[in-house]
Amino acid sequence: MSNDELVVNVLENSNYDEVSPSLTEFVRTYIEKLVSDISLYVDSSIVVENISTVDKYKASQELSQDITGIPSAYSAIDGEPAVLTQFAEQYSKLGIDSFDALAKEALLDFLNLHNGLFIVLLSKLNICELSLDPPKQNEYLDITTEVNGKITIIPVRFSFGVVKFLLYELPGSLI
Amino acid sequence: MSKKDIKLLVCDDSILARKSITAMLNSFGYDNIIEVSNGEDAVNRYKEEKPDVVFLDIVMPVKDGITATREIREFDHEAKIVVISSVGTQTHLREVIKAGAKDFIQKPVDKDLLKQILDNNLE
Repeated sequence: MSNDELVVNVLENSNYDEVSPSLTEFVRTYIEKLVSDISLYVDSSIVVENISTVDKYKASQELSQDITGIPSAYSAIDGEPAVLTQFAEQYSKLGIDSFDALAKEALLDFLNLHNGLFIVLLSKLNICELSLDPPKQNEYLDITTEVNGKITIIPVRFSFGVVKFLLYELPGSLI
Repeated sequence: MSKKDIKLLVCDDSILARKSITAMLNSFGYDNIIEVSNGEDAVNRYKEEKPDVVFLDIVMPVKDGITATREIREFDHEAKIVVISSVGTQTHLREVIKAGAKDFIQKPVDKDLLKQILDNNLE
């Protein structure tokens, strides 16, 4: 099965078709590219669980990266430390076995790689030209959206647990 | 010049990326590698060490890779700079070329391409 077929297959088995009409093209493209990048660089045996949108999101740590330009967006990774540790190891193959600085670096490296490939895709499709800020990590994550803003949560199940990917497309910057 | 005399500078804010690029360069037989994590340190170390080839990321804290490329080239018009980044958009590629970089490698780094570009820059 090609990677494109795998992406279609993974998304067909999720609620993607149901929720996609309410999502912008930017968010839909992000989700499709995310599934593709995870299957290429982390693990192809994945299931996308129910994609949802929320107004607020809190987490015990922030592992994020801003996508800048028009539109601009905030992206982040969240999950249980043990699961994030496994994800970091599966991606980096560096022998990571605890949720330490190296594990967080690996998670941010994946986020940076995926976001970079995502904006390259948008550029190739002549949709828009965006840039990235350096990835950041902080102790707490507390996002409250602006009016009409929605944070899209993309939960991806691996054999070792669920990793949540967050994307908040900033209102006012939509194309 | 033998491989042991060649000095390379790798600049990326990601420890993983630095480890990965350095490991590839080591496997090509190059051991004299300076690692830094932002564009400002890259400019400063370039001025001190005058490496033969510089590998620079674009998205970095303190000073980005495009600004660092421009500053290194202002200091040394012969500087050989290869930009390695995940953000290979049309706009970024134009900026990279305008700043004076010799080549661009899209992440994730292809080892054969890295070797080919390094060899070309060392000729």
